[in-house]
Amino acid sequence: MGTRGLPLLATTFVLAFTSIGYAQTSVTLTDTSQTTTLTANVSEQARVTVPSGVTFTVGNVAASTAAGAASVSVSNIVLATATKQFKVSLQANAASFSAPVGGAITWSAADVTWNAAAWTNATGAAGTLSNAAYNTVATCVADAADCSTTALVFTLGAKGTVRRSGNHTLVVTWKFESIGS
Amino acid sequence: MAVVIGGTAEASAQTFVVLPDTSLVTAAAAKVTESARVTVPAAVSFPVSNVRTATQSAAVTVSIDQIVLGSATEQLRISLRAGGASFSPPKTGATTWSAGDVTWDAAIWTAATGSAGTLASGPYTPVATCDAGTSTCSTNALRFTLAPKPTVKRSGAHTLVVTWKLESIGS
Repeated sequence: MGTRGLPLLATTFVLAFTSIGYAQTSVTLTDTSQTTTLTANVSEQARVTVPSGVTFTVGNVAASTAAGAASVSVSNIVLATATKQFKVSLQANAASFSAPVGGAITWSAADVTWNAAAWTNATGAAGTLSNAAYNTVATCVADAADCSTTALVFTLGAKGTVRRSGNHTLVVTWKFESIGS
Repeated sequence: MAVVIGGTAEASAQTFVVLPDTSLVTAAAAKVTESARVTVPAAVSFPVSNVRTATQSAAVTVSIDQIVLGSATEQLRISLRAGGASFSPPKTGATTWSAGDVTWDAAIWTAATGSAGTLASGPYTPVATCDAGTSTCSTNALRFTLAPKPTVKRSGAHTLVVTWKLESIGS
C-alpha cells in the first residue's frame, strides 16, 4: 500500500506570495496601530492509500483471473465547497503488459477490468483499463471527509494465445480530483 | 526681566525697553514623546498542502529604528495579539484554525532578544525585547507556524488579522 497526502491533480492553486509587503511607519509608544494579515492558503487535498501491487495468479490462460480484493482509502478530504466531490480514476501507463520475454504475446491494458465495488461514503463504478483515458473507479459522497473500499477486485481477461510463463507487468496510475462546484 | 513661554497656552509679557535691549528671553521646550519607526509585514502566508502536518511561513522581517525612550535603561518590547479567536474560513461555518494554532519561534534578532510564543486573542504575547540603550533592533528570521488541523475540510483562504504592540518597559 502507498500512503500519501497529495494535492489533487486537476486543481491548480496559487499557494504562496513570493514577495511580502511591508509597512514602515513612525509611531508613538505605546502603539497598536500596526496589523498583519495571516492567511492559510489551503489547497484541495486528501490522504490516499492505494495498493502498490495487484497480482493475478494465472493458472489457466484460457480463463479470466480475478485478483484478491484490494483496499483503497481516502481520508482528510479537503475541497472548496460542500457540494464538490472527490473522484478516483485509473489509467494504464502503456497499451499492454510487458511480457517476461521480449516479443512474447501478452495481455493488453483493456484486458483488465474492475468491479463496481461496495464503498463506504462513495459510489463505485465498474470499468475497463485504458492507456488513453482515466476511467472512474469511484466517486466519494459530497462533503465526505473520507471514503474507502476493501472490495475492489481487478480481473484479467482470458488470453488463450499467451505462451510464456513468468511475470507480465503493467503499471497503472491513479488520478484523484475534485469534480462539481 | 525674563519671560518664560512654554506649554500649549502661551503666556506673554509687555514691557518698555531702552534700545538696544537684550533683557527679554524665551524658553523653548521640545517635548519629546517615546517613539520609534517600525516595519512589519503586511501579510504572512501559510501554504497548506497537508492539513495533517504543521505548515511554516516564510521568514519575515521586523525592524525597529529611531527608538526614542525615556531613559537608557528602558527597553522597547514588541508583542502580538490576534484580532479574533479564530481564522475566518472561506466558507461560513467551515472548520478552521484557532488563533492558538499559530506559534512563532525565538528568532535571532540584532540588538534584541526574541521570544517564542503562541498567538492569543486575549493578551499580547512578546515577540522580542530590544536591548536597553539601542536605537535599532531587527530580525529577518521570524517564522510563524500553523499547527496541523485534520478536521479542516475547506480549501481556500483562511485569514486572521493580528495586531502588533510596541511599548517601552522598565524605567
